[in-house]
Amino acid sequence: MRVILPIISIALLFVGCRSNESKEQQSSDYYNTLSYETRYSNIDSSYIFAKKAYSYSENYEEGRSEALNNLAYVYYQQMKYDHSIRLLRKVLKQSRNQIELLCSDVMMMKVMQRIGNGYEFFKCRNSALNRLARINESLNDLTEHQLRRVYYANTELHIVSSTYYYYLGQDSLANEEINAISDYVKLDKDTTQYLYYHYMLGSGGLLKGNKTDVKLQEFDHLVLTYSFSKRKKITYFEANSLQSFAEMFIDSFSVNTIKEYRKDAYNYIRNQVMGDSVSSSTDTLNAFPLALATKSLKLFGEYKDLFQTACLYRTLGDIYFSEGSYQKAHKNYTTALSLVHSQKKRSSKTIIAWMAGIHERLSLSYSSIGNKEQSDYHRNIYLDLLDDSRQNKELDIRKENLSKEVRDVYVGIALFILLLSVIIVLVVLDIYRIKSHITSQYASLLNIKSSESYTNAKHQIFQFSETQENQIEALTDQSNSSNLHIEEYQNGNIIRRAKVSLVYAIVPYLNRILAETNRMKTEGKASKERLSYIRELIAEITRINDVLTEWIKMQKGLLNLHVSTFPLSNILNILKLNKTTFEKKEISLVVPETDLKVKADEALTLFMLNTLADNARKFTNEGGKIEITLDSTDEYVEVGIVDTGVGLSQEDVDTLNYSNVYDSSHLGISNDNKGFGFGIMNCKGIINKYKKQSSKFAVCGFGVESQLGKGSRFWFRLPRVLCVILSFILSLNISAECDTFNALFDSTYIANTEGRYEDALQYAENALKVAGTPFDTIKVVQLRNEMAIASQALKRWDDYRYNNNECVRLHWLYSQDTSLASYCRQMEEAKYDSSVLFVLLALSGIIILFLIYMVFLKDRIRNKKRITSLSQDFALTLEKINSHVGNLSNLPNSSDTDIIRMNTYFIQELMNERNRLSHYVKDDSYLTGLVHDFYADIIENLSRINQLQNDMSSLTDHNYKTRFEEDRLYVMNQVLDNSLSTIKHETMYYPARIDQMTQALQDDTDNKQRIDELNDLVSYYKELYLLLFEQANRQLLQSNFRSDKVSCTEIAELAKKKIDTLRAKEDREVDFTSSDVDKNVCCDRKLLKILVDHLIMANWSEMHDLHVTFQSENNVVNVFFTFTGIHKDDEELANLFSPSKDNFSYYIVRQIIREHDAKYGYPGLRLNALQTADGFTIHFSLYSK
Amino acid sequence: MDKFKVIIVEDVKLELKGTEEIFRHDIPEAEIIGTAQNESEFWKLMRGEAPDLVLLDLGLGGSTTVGVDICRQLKARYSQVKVLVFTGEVLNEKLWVEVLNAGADGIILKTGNLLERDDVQLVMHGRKLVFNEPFLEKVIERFKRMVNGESATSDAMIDYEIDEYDERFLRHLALGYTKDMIANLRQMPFGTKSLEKRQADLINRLFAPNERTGVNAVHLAVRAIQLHIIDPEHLVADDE
Repeated sequence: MRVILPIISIALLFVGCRSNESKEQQSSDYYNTLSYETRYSNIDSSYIFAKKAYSYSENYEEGRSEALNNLAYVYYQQMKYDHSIRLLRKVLKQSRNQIELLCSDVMMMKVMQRIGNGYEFFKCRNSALNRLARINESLNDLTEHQLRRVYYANTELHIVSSTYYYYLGQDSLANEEINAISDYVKLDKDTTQYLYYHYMLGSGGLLKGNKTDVKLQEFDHLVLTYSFSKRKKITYFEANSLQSFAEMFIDSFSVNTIKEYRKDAYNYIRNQVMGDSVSSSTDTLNAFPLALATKSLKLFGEYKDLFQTACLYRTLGDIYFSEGSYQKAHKNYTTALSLVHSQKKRSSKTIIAWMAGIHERLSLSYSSIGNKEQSDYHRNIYLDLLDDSRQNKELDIRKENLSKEVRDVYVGIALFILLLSVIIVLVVLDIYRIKSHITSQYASLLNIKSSESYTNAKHQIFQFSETQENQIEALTDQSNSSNLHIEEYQNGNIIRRAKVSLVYAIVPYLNRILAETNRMKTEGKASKERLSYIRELIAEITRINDVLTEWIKMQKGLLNLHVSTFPLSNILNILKLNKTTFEKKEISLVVPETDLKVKADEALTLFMLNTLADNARKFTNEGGKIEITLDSTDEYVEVGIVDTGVGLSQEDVDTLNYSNVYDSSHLGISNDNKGFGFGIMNCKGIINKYKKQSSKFAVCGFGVESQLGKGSRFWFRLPRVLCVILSFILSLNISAECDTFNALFDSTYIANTEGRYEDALQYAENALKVAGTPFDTIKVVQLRNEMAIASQALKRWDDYRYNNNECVRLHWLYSQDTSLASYCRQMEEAKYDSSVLFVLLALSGIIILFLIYMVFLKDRIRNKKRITSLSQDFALTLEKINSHVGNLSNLPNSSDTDIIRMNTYFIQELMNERNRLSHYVKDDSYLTGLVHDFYADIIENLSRINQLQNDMSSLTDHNYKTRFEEDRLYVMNQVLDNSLSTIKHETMYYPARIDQMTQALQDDTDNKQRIDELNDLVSYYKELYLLLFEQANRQLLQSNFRSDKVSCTEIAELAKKKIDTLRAKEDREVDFTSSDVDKNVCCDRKLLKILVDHLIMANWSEMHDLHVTFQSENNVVNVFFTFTGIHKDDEELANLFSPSKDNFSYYIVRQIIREHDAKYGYPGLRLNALQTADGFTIHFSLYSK
Repeated sequence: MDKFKVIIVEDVKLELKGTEEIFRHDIPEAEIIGTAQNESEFWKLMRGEAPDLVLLDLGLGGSTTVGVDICRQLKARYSQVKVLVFTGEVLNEKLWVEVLNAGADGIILKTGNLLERDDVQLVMHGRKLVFNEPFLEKVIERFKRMVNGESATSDAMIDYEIDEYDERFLRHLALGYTKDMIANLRQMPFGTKSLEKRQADLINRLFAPNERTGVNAVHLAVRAIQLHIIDPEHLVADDE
């Protein structure tokens, strides 16, 4: 179709041409030719001829189109682009003459090139190339006149394209275009096009090679253009070539080269322009170019070419400018500008680049005559115009629209294909399904019992119970593991509780000291007895502190970390929730967004982040800022907490970074900072814990950087889990470079506005050094602009020109769209292809739909009645049975009667189905048997399923409970650990200090000041201690106590089990005996187990045998654990439950009994150690009520 | 103060030393006839010379609350012996109550100025309920809090203009009565309809305008408790 249509139309055209060649047509052609030939010599004549041609061509379409084209050209030269475009559109719309259509396209390209509409330009160009290709296929049939038009269109197309590319700065493309017609252009074919071609080559920029050669070639082309146009009086090219000469001869290199190699031609032109009278040696350097330009100006004036006239004024200005006559230059530029303004009135479309050039010159001339303000004004207009002319915006929008159109088409096609294939697949499947369905239904009715549905239904019952069993197994496993954890944590918890109570053990001593110092204060002197008593108490406190330290050491490493991979954003988000706490102190908290993931203990990481952020808050004054920073490598993420707070001295920083144990009260700058460093030590401890755990955590780290008065930065590192693609990291680096560039760019700009032009240039040079490839070109453009402004202000014209050119070049580079041309072409092809495709697809779709109807519906209707009712009913029955089985999962706690009721229900349902089915099937006994079989299966499994169901729901509940308890204990233990180490580290300085002061008082008993000091210190110590204790104790308010009833037999069992496991490990003869009392005791079973374990473990290495006895008394049961073979004296036994390094286990036993005491509300449970003949007995009591 | 005999029950030697020193120094009238570190030692002593006063620590060795039991038995067997509890259980208020129930004549907390002559003198003169300053401070603090809570209730009555019917209505709502049941109360001379009106009226009084939507009887009762209009500790139904 695409090829046939134009051929037909051209053929028709030729027929018309031959048969109807009238006089009017001849006149029309004649005037058209005249109009065409005079268009470069006298635009007014051309206009008149074109009008005439138009008037003769009322019935002659080709002539009318040609006349319109010619008129369009006239309007183009008069810069009435609106008119021109309107006429061309008219031709394109109305004409069917391919040759004139081609000419219109080419003319349209010319207009679009002028007004800088790239998209329309390429649209016309593609259309023109298509037409040209078609016309070239039938050149032989054309008349001479038509051949001339084709020749014109062809050459003009390439020349205009070349011009277009030239102004875009795509020199190689421009060169290619103009070379395409180098063999084609002949003088005898069309003089004006011949001149145009040579003028193009001569006017510069299109030729390549060494500079001298290019200059000479250009000169030759221009001479050729000039001499021909002058002889033939083609004013336009004469003026143009003169202007080009003028521009060429401003440059001294060109003048010298041409004087050397083309002396004759040079002199010839010189003579032509300036006459013989002036000697070449006497005139000023610029006299010749000036004369050339003036002459050219005159010619253009005759030709009434406003555009070129303005350009010439600009050229004149340039000439004056280059010789330093700034005033004259300025005057010419102003004239040019006024011409531009007059054009603006004529047409809504204007040539922005043209205006921009003049404004740029004006900016320059104002700068040179010292009017900085005006200079800036014009430069801004210039830049705005450049920006306007940047077609990019417009093109982007258009391109987007276009690609959307194309995309829509493709999507439509894809959807259509998809739809079709789906339909086909469905049809095939359905046909297959119907066939197999029919056969299987018949088969299943004959042999239902072996049918899939039946076995499925039957299997489901089995499967149901089986999956439940599996689930129960899984749940049990889970519950077991949770229970193990809980046991572990509970043990840990009671150990910590024991520690907390140990902590409290020093409080009575503290109270004693305080009472003594109070007395000394009131008495006004210190007696020796009191002082030595205080020292004894202090020694005891120190001893207990040591015990605590020892115990904490013993338990170190027992608590494992819960390592998992988690996104940092989890904990950062939690920190964000705290924002208000920071805002209350008027501190801004900055938390970054991230998708980094790390491997660590999530709870502890949150703890660290919170601790460090809180610390930062504590030491940051109002109005400060705390920022969380994240730096990452492939291996780790470094979380930084940066504050603008009071900071730390170098000494403190060293202490925090390098010592493991330190006295935190020495850190910080004032007394208010007590408590500083403790949380940090914990964080460090956690990091060390990671490192000990595995080599994977080798990258972990912790550190502090700080400066007094400026703020601190605390950081920790966790191993990173890579999940983000590498490009992310790359882009990070790039953005860093970008930042430097932007900073330098900003400096440049600021320097410029402040008038420090030298600095500005320096900054810009540096910025250009930083700028690599992937930069925002527009920024570089702006940078070049700033450089241009700076060098303009410094009156460095060469630098200015270089930078300005770079700026413009980059500007075009940035805005050009090299793919636009081919894109437009592709799009058109796609449109064409898609429409054909659409038709084909639609057709095939209709055919396929018809086929579907034939195959599918016919088949269906024929079979439907026969199969559906029977098969569906049967399927329904099976489904119902299945759903009953499914419903079992929703059964409430079923008692036996529930099960019986369910069974009855089942039987009824099944019998109903049997009755219904028997309508369809004659052999009714077979179905009855079937139902009975099925029923038997259900009954068999029903009770089992019920039982499993109950087990499962209780197990699930239990699991929830244990998981919850597990988590709670874990957190509680962690916090207790921290509290305990706080107490340890925060208070260990005081006893020694008190001791010191007491000692000093012993030699100076009447020193009241010292007594007061001692009293104050002790009070402070006590307050601090109680405060910290209170913190730990608060954790203990959450009780873990679970009351159980435990038989005495079970307690004996517990002991036996422990002995057995120990015996299995270590081959030793240990006898175990127990008496029994038929009583239950109230206790926490887990705690009791811990108690028994600890008692046995504490004596295992020495004991010969263990005898466990019980004795019931009122509402308590006394339990006796008698160990033989161990001798402990009375003193040892009396102190067995007081804190000491070796009595850890007993202290825990004491704590467990105390817990029971507190829980049951009847104080008075006993725990004693008693001497026996060959060992000792531990006696404890528990409530039996 | 006349001379008197005392037994000190204290398991920590260093503390015992301090206590003995206080007696020697401040209360020379006291004759320490024995000291016991545990329960059995104490009863052994008691079989000997009977003291006038027992200074009793509550925790002995592993048994941290055994003192309560000792006190009870002591008072049962030797009712004339005075018992002054001297304990470090500063936080365990429940234990104080237990030991007072067991018949102790006073409680001295092992903090502040510890054992003072005046307190011992009071006990010896037959005064019951002798407490040292830290103990009293804690008790008074609690007392104040309680009284403040009560006055908050009467303030609320005035602030929200609660009459006795309002109070009764709210109290029974909190107890889970329906309006029908409340209407049947002997001291409630209103029908269900008028109770509904009263409820709407109460909602208007107890809730700010923007909080009033969707308030039901439960909300209202909870609000009344929050505002101290009804006291959850004294939530008793009236006769029907």
